[in-house]
Amino acid sequence: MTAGTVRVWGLIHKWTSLVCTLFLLMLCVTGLPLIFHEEIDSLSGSPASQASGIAASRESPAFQSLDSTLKRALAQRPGEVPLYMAFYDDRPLMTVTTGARPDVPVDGMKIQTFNRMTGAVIPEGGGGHAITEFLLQLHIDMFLGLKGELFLGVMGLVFIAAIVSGVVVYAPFMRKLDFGTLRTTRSNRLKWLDYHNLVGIVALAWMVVVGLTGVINAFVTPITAIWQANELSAMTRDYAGRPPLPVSRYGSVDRAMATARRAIPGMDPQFIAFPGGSYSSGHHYAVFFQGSTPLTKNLLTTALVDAETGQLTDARPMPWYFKALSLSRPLHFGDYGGLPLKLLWAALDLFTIVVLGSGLYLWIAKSRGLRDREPAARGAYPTVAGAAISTAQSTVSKGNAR
Amino acid sequence: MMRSTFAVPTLIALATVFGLVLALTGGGWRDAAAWITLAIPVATVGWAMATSGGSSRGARPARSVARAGVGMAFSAMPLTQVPAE
Repeated sequence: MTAGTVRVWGLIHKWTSLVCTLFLLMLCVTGLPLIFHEEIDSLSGSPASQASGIAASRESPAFQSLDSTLKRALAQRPGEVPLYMAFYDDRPLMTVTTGARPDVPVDGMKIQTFNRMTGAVIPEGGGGHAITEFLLQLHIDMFLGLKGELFLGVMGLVFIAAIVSGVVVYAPFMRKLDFGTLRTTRSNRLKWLDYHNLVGIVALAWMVVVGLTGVINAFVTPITAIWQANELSAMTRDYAGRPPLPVSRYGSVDRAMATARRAIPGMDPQFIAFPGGSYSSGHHYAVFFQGSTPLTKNLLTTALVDAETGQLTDARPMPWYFKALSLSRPLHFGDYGGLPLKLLWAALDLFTIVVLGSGLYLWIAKSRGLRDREPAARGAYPTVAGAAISTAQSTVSKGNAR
Repeated sequence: MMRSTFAVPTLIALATVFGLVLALTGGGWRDAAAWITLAIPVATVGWAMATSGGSSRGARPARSVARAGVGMAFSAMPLTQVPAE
């Protein structure tokens, strides 16, 4: 690599990092407690975390019917229409989401939780839950809705560019240094430069995986819109041009579920999307089935059942880009391998904070250093200067050691 | 040159990705294997701190600040404050 190439990559690293660092710090800081949201919910005594029994996604004669549960949910929210039903796969709880219209945005949705065995309404609960909800919203869109979501997605892409350029400039820095060198006694700058390089390079793969999956998650709205425009409209071609089914003509949800289970045997439902929302057509109950391993749990298969007649229209697996979106969830959240995995996730999140913080520190220290030195040095590129310093220092230290 | 600079980092990255994907395919021993491979990057930093012998000397903020004259330690750095340029 010539000095010119290093300089260009160094500039890319500097500017991409400066653009995304504060947002990435926010994401790392809010993401850290979110890794443990289940533990926080259960410690703070959330009622939903204490329910136990047959998983609501399974079939059991002990369960209340879906139709009666829906009726009770709607009785609590007069005038609203059903949007989703979702099923826990580890406890007998299900949720019913309602809203003023079938296409109401997320902030106009109301979620109620029911115990399928007892029929009891589960109150929203726990101070811990309120805190994780707040942090989650900050983490997803900074309370700015779709715009915030997409903005953070773009920041994630800039972060990936900063990582890639960082790996490129790692090479000239480390040319004369052994892997893992930490020169902690000479100056703060050198110490944090070495920490920045070491922690950045060891956490590289994790930061890329969590960064990219975060970007994919941030684009959930456009990805769903693409699925609806392509696969969903292909599956419901026969219904094209018909006006949406009025709520008064929605048929039995239990009958639709039975039809869907016959079409996709051996799997359990994750959720039902009601007609008119982002996950269905204007005429269908869309039932999304999941597998039982962490991998297949996220690879949904869809059965579309005519909401009026209860007849099957079509059933097929989700397309590759939707599978990518689904697999991005566990890989971003780190919640699929027990508490030890979460703790390692937290450690690597802290590493990322160290990389971001030390990078910011090095930039501040560099600009102060340049101001204090002779004006000629001002234009000199930091990476080249830094590489020269580190090379010189390592030569000296190796010389001393021998 | 490139090979030696990136040899260890490449192994660590491969171990990380292997563990992340392995745990996704099932529980039990796969989770345990993922804990081990993901502990590698974390342990590497601990190893580097221990072998550089600077982990205790260098981490004392008061001394570092005084010596470097930079006027701030990383831990005390106000992250929201963008320096006036």
